Amino acid sequence: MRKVLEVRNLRTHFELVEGTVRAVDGVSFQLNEGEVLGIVGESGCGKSVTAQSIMRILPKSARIVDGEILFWNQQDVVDLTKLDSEGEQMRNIRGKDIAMIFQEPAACFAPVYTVGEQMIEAILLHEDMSKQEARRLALKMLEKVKIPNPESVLDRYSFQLSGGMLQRCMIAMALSLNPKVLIADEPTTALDVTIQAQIIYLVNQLQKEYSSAIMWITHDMGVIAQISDRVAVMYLGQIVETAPVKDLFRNPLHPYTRALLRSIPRLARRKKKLEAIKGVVPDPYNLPIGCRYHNRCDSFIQGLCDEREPTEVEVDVAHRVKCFLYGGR
Amino acid sequence: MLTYLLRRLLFAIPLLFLIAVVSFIIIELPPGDYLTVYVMNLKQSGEAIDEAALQVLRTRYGLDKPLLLRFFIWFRGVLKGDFGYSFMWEKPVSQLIGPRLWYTVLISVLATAFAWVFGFLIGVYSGIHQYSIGDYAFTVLGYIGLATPNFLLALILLWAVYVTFGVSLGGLFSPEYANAPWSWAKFVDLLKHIWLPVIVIGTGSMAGLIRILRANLLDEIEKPYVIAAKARGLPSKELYWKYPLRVAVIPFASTAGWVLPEIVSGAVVTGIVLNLPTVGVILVDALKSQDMYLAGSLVMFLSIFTIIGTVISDILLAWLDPRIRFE
Ligand SMILES: Nc1ncnc2c1ncn2[C@@H]1O[C@H](COP(=O)(O)OP(=O)(O)OP(=O)(O)O)[C@@H](O)[C@H]1O
Ligand code: SF4
Ligand SMILES: [Mg+2]
Repeated sequence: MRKVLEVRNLRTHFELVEGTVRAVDGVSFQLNEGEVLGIVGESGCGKSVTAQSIMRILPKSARIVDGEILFWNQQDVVDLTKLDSEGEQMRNIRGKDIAMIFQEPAACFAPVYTVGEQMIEAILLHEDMSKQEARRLALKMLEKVKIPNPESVLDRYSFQLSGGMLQRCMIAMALSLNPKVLIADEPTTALDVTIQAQIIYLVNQLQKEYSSAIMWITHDMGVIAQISDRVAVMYLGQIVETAPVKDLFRNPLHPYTRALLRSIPRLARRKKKLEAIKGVVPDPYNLPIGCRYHNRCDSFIQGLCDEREPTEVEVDVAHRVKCFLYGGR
Repeated sequence: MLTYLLRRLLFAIPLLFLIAVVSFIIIELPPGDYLTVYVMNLKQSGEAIDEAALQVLRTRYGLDKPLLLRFFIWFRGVLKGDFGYSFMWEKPVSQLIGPRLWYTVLISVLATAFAWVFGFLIGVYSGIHQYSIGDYAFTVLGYIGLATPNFLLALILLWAVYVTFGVSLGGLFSPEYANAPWSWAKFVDLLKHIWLPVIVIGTGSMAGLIRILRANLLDEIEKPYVIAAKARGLPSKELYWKYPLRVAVIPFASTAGWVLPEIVSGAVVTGIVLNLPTVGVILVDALKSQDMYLAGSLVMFLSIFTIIGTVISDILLAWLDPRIRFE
C-alpha cells in the first residue's frame, strides 16, 4: 500500500481576540492509495479545520503553527504546509490533485451561475481543453453520478435543483479531474436518510472506478460503518484512536470511541435508551490538562489522566490508541 | 427573461395611470377652480378682465363640467402634450417646463451615475480591504456625506470654489452663455458648472451605496460557494470578481429604487440653493401661489421619472439575478 497523503503532528490554531483556539492540536494520520479513511468525532472537534488545513483554504484568523502535510505527487513528495496558500503550486493541487466536497450542496454553488458553468470553469482551470470538450466531460461526469437529464441539469441554477441532485453534481465536479485524494466534509449530513444512502452507494461504486483515496468526514458512526476501510476517531483537536473499520466496531478501545458506538441508534436495540455521551465538551479556549477526555471518561484514573497526556500506542496491527488504559505512559 | 420584461413593463402602466390620477387630485385640491383664483388675482391687481379669453380657457379645460369629465379632458390633453395653463407665468405649462425638466433629468442621471460608479469602486475597495486605513478613511467620509444636508454641502462647495479659484459656480452657465444659443463653448461652460450640483446631489446616495456594497461583500466573502470555488483552485483575484462581488452587486442594483427618488427630490432642493434652471424653483413657486396645473404637471413628471428609474433597475436586477428571472 502506497501513501498519498500523510499528516504529521499538525497544529492549526485560531488567534482570536478572546484567546487562542487550538482547533487541531497534534494530528497525525496517513491516507493510502485507493482507501477510504473515515474521520469521526463530535461537532467542533476539528474535523473541518483539518480538511481546510490540507486544502490550505483556512479562514484568515487560522494559522498552521506546526507539523507537516506530505502529499505524494507523481514522483516527488511535497509538504503542503510549506507552500504559499495563494501560490500557483498550491492552486494547481487544489481541485486537481486534491478535490473537496462540502456539507451543504445548495450553498456551495453560486446562485448566479449555472451548475454547468461552474463545472466547466473547474475543468478549464486545470485542463488544457476547449469549452466544448470541457462541457462534454462535465456531461459525462453527470451521467456517471446517475443524474437524469444531465444535459438540462448543466444549464440549471442551483436553486432549481434538490440537495441530493446538487451533491451528485458536486461529486461529479470533484471527480472530473480524477483527483488522487477526495476530501468529503460531511457531504451527506444535510441530506435526508434515503438520499444519504444513495450517495454513499454511489461513492462506493465510483471509488472502484476512480480509485481516488477518500477522506470521509462525518459525525455519524453509521455512515462510517458503510463507507470506510479505516477509521480515525477525533476528540478536541486530536486523534484518539485509529483502526481498520472492522476492528474498531468489534473491539473499540478508547473510552470515547466506545461511548460514540453506544450512541448509534440500532433497530435491534430499539428498546434500549440511546446513550448520549455524558458531560460537556470543554471550552476550546481552556483545554483540560492531562487527557482531554478525562472530565467525561468513565474509566478515568485519578492522579494520572488529569495530570499527564497519554501518548499513542499501537495495540494491534494498524490499531492505535491514545489512552492510559493501554499503556501510553 | 422576455416574459419578465413584458410583465414588468405592463405593470408600469397602471402605476403611470395612478400617478396621473394623483396629479389631477393635486390640481383639483385648492378650493374653487383655477380660473376663480386667476380672476381674483387679476381683480386684486386691478387689471382688466378679458371675458372672452376666460371663456376660451373654461371650455378648453372643461371647467364647467363635472369632476370625472374634467379628469378625462385633462388626461386627454396630457396624452397630447397639453398640460394646462400657468396663470402665474401666463403661458401653457408645456412651454414652461420643457428645458427645465431636461436639465433636472440630466443632473439626476449624472448624479445617479456619480453615486453608482464611486459607490461601487469605493464599496469594493472597502469590502476587500476591510479595516485598512483606506477603509477607515472612506467610512468616516461616508458618515460625513450621509450626515451633511445637500444645501449645506452646496454652500460649502460654492464657498470653497470661490475662495480657491475666485469664481462663482452658481447656476448651470456663466452669465454670458445663459441665453446664448448652443455652441461648443456653451457646452464646455455647462461642464464647468454641472459637476458641482452632481456631486452635491450624488454624495448622500453614494455614501449609502458604499455602506451597502461593503456590508454585502463582507457577507458574501464568507459564503460556502466562495470557499468551494477556492477549493477548486480559482486564484483569489478572479475569485473576488467572479463570485462574491457578482452576488453582492445584486442588492446594490436594487437600491436604484430608493436612490432615484432621493436624487430627484435632492435635485429639487439643491436646484433652489444653487440657482439652477431646473424645476426646483418653479415647483416651489407654483405650490406657493397655487399655480396648480404647473405644480401638478411637475409632480407628475418627477413621479414618472422615478417609475422609469425603478423599471430600469428592476430589469437590471433580473439580468443580474437568475433567481428573479426564474421566479
Ligand atoms: N472561522 C473560525 N473562527 C474561529 N474559530 C473557528 C473557526 N472555524 C472553526 N473554529 C473552531 O475550531 C474548532 C474546530 O472546528 P471545526 O469546524 O473543525 O469542527 P468540526 O469537527 O468540523 O465540527 P462540525 O461537525 O460541527 O463540522 C471549533 O472549536 C471551532 O470553534
Ligand atoms: S487516558 Fe484516562 S481519561 Fe483519557 S480516555 Fe483513557 S482512561 Fe479516560
Ligand atoms: Mg465541520
